[in-house]
Amino acid sequence: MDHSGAKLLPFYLVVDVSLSMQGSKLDEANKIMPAIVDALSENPILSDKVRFGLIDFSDDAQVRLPLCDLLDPDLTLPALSVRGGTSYAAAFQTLQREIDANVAQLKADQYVVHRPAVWFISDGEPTDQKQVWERAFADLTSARIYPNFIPCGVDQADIKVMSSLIHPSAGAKKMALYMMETGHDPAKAITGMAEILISSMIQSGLSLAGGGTGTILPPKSSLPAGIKQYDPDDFV
Amino acid sequence: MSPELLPLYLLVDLAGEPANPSKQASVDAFVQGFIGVLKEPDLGSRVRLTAVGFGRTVRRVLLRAEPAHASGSLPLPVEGERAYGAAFQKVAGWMKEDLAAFQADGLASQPPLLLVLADGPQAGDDEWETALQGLTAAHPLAVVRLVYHQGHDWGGAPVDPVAEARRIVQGHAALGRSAPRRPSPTKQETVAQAPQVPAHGPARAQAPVKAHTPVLTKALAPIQPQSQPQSQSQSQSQPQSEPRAEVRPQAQPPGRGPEPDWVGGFTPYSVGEPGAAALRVKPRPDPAEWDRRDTVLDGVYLHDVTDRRVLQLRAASVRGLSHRYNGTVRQDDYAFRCTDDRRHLVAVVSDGVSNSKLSHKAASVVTRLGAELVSLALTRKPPAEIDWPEIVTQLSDEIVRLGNKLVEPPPDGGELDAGEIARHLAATALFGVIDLRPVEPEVDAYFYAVGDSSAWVLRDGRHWQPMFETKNSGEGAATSVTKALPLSRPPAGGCVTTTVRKGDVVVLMSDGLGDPLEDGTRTVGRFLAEAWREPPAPLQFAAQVDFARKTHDDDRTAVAIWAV
Repeated sequence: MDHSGAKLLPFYLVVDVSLSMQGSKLDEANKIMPAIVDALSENPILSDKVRFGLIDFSDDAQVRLPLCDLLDPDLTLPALSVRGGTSYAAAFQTLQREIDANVAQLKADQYVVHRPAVWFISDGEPTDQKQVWERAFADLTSARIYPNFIPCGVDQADIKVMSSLIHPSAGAKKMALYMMETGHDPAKAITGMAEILISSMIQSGLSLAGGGTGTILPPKSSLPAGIKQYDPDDFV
Repeated sequence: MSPELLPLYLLVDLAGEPANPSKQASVDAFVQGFIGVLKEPDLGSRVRLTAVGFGRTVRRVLLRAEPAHASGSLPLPVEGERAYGAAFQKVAGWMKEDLAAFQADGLASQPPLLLVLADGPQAGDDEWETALQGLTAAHPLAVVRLVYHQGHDWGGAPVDPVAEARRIVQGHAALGRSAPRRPSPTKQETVAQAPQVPAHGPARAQAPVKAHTPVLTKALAPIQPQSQPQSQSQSQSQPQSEPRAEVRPQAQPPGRGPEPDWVGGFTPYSVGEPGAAALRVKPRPDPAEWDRRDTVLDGVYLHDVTDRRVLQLRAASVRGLSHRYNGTVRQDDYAFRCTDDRRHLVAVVSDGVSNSKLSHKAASVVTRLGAELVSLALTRKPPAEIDWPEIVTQLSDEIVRLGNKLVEPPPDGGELDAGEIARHLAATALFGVIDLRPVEPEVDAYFYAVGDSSAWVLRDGRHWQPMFETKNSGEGAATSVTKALPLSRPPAGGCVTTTVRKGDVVVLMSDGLGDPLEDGTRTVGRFLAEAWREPPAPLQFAAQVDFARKTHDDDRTAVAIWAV
């Protein structure tokens, strides 16, 4: 049916499935997509516009759910399982390929596509070489259709590494980093990240309805326990 | 409330010799015309069409089709003999399947409408009567007989079957959301030319038949469900001399009184995919603003100084689905006024910037004070010489003044400046000035804008011509950053001028309407061009502004002006 000019808000959830995620962390990660589906099905304003894609990464990155309407009745949500190491480069490259292809396709289908938001959840440091993943990240964020990149670190994730992934890191539309507070339960922190993601999704959708700017992050005051928000300016 | 689907069954009598070009041509022409009618936006979104040909066989050629996707040329070959009984039986079975399918999809549907296009009576051994009774007993449906003119020469026929069919379908669709009832005769009766001789007899001049009702007419007209013996006897007592087809919604509750003395109905507009929001949002009021209306509208003529009607205006500002869902106010607004000397019409549209909570108040300042300031300026100088930056400055100052009353002052007790106020209340501004003293046959129009509200001229009721560059037409990700008042420094630059002829429509609109309109060449552009070729009734205009379309849930405002 005709939909030319329909506005879309693409989201990508990128989840670390290295071996260290095994156990309750992975269990909580597997609950994120169903929670998003619940939030969308309650909110018809949002569900008309939001598209979600799921990518997991370890030594390689895999598109587990291509960008789609999560309320599609024929959809089956994939279950994540752990694989091996932690290649950030693989995640960034796959992400860039997906964004390019998805946005091009949606535009060809006459949608008006807003800037994608990427929620990147990792529990450890990258196992690939620094210059390799840095290069891949630079390619991703310098592309014409670059995403708003929101890193979320739990457990052993390195705050220095994670903070370098905030994009844009300056200007009126700068993003932020969410980190688990030291000593907090990492599985609960993942649940908290999901809450932040959903809150951001709702506010972004709301803002879009009235000519807003795309990705809106929830106010710092409303963060779940055990999670701290860092702005790019917090790091020198 | 979401519109109910209207399951429509077109049953086409294909009896005849295969090489009968006259009948084939008229069948094809009817089908093409009829499907064209169904593609109209108000029907197209609701009708699901099943087309059935009956001649040598009874065959479905369209199954629950959305008219937008239906081809106007269907494989309906004239061949064989007609058997109404077999056709009604098949249709009864299909209706049952279809209604179950709609239900399974969670779609509400109104009683089906069966249109029979026929040009000849049934044969003696055709057990149509039982079959029709079976059909009407099983489904509350309306049966309408259309008869094409003998010899299929519609040019000379007193009734155009396509126009008739359109009237019937529209009348039936209008009943969709009220309790099924017998519609008023003026809307519903179908005057039909009765075939007096078997189909495809020798072509000859045919006078409207008065004396004998053909068997089919009689059959289709008075059949009532068996549960309503009383109404059956009524209809039988009616004179039978006028061959008329009937629309008969059959599911009247027993004991219902005579036909109501009122007509009318309402179907919400929907363009393309309506989206979940249009179907599911239950509007909430804004508890902080009880006196801010969801929708406002106007429909007026405007007169020049000699009291001659010069322009017609329609305006509507409608709260978006997103604000209805979230229980927040409409932030759009409009205003219009004629100058005291009745030389000019001034129209203003403003869109409050949504991230700022008090923006609807800025929109009110821009529209009301803006219209006043521009009118005042026009008493001193012609439209082309208006100092627009000066007007923007005055409006900005007023918004800042108002903002300083409404917003909590800074800790040092000073005044907030334009930039700080804009975080709380800000609005776009679009002005149109139209000369009420036309230089025949043209009218001069002037436009000035700050922000993304847009001005268009619908040329000849067909082509949308933007007065400013349209947004999001380029590469890259879409953005929605908007310039808005208050501004500490007004933008340089003057107004845009155009001339408008009779048949053109000037439309000022907020981006809630401008975004789905795109560049004017796509679906919404075609819909509004058709809807606004002539000024619609004011309430209808507001309903059109409020059309459903997936993801387009912003407030919408339009002020449209036609030269009389």
